[in-house]
Amino acid sequence: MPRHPELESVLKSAQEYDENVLRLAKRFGYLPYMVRRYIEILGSDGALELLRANEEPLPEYLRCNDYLISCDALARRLEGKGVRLRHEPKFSPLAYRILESPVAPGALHEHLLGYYYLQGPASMSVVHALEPEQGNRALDMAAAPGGKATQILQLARDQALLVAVEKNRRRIRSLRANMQRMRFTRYILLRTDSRFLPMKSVFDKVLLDAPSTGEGIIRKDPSRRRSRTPRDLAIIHELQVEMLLKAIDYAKRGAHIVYAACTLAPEEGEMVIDAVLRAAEERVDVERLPIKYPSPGVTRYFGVSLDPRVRYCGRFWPHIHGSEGFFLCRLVKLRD
Amino acid sequence: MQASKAPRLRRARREEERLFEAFCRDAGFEPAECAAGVYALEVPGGSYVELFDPPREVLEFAEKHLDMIVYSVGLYLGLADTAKQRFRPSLPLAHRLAEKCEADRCCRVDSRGEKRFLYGRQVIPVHAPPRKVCIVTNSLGEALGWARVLVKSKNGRPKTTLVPVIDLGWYLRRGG
Repeated sequence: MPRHPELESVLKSAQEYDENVLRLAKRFGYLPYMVRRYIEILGSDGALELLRANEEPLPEYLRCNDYLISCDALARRLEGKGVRLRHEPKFSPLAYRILESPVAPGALHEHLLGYYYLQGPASMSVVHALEPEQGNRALDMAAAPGGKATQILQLARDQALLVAVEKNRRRIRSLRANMQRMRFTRYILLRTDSRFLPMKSVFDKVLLDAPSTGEGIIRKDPSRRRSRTPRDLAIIHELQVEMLLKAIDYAKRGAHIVYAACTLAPEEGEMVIDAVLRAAEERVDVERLPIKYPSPGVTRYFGVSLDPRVRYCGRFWPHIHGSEGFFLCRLVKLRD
Repeated sequence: MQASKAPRLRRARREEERLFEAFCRDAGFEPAECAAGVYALEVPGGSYVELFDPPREVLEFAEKHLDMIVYSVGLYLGLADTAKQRFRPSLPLAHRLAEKCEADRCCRVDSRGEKRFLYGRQVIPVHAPPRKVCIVTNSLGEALGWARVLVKSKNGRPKTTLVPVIDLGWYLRRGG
């Protein structure tokens, strides 16, 4: 399996910690290696801010489906039902924070009618980095439950061709229900492992929202503070590198490939990009993100200098952006 | 992809098309209004097929690159069981046809009826055309689902009730 050559040494360093790390890990309920990594990236004060931000539940956001309804009309309808919203275009022009709702936002008729999708704010930014356009052929390699897949067709006004892939039987049902609920038609769903698609150099846009440790959604799922070991991180890193290399194979020359992961771990972010840049040699380059809000990627980690181009990748931090933690990076395929 | 067990898309057989066309007419629409082309997704050994109306370029892609082995493709029309002579319509088909609901071709419910219908309950419509089955819309003309139109006589007067076939609340009840 392909992996970053410094992965072992980085994970070893993350497991060498002092009293301060142990104290913070105990206080906030994390595995110590996670806190050690946060201190390595952010310093002690920044790590403390992050740990405090992760104590706050993630606010709910909706993505207005302006393919079906104008966002102003949707906001008016929801406000008429007692829902208080705040437009937060820094994440996406379609993003609204739900400040208050008399009933669960997923149970409102407007949700059933496909007028919005409940989605994390950083997650919404990812498809803007992909910039899907009408006439594109797009691939979403890990598509369920469909937040980003529906957004690809939404931004392309249902005039792109989307191939959305999901391996899991239960999750692909949710994906299909969401594609139908949001009323898109130009898509093909495949239930298979996206590493083994029978095609090459076919797509203009490839999205890999990779399977991850989910360290970015601790605000939603606090169990993630202790549920993933360094060994799990190494396994998922290898899968991510393998999938991203396949994503490059599926892309046409000149195509954009967006890699995203719901994580704060450089092992699942910048180190995956660095490993792929080494393996793919001159076939791909990193592009600056077309969105301005995220923080830059980490270029130095536990003494390892990563490819300087990873600074063009983006990070959403709970304590800086108020969102879930997310990593994203846009690559361009230079040649087959 | 395991080709032998995987669902494969093919042009709908005449008996499947006939079932679909009969349903469209029962609902007050011409088959050409319901779909441009009907394709069937068949699971080997399955007792029914799912019908789709895939856009041309989507279909071409599935043919060229995927040997027609797909899970879902284009607009889902519904489920056809030729052995039982039954067609179960989809919600995307209701959305598509709701745009053509002028001239009172569809059933309409008020806001109370909308809530009840989306809980999968029978409702009394504000308007119902004389059909076996209809698209149920709210006062804004938005499709809420499909219902069978049941007319019973009560105290010598006809009473119309809509019995849900499928409603939008299904998304919620199945757990998202």
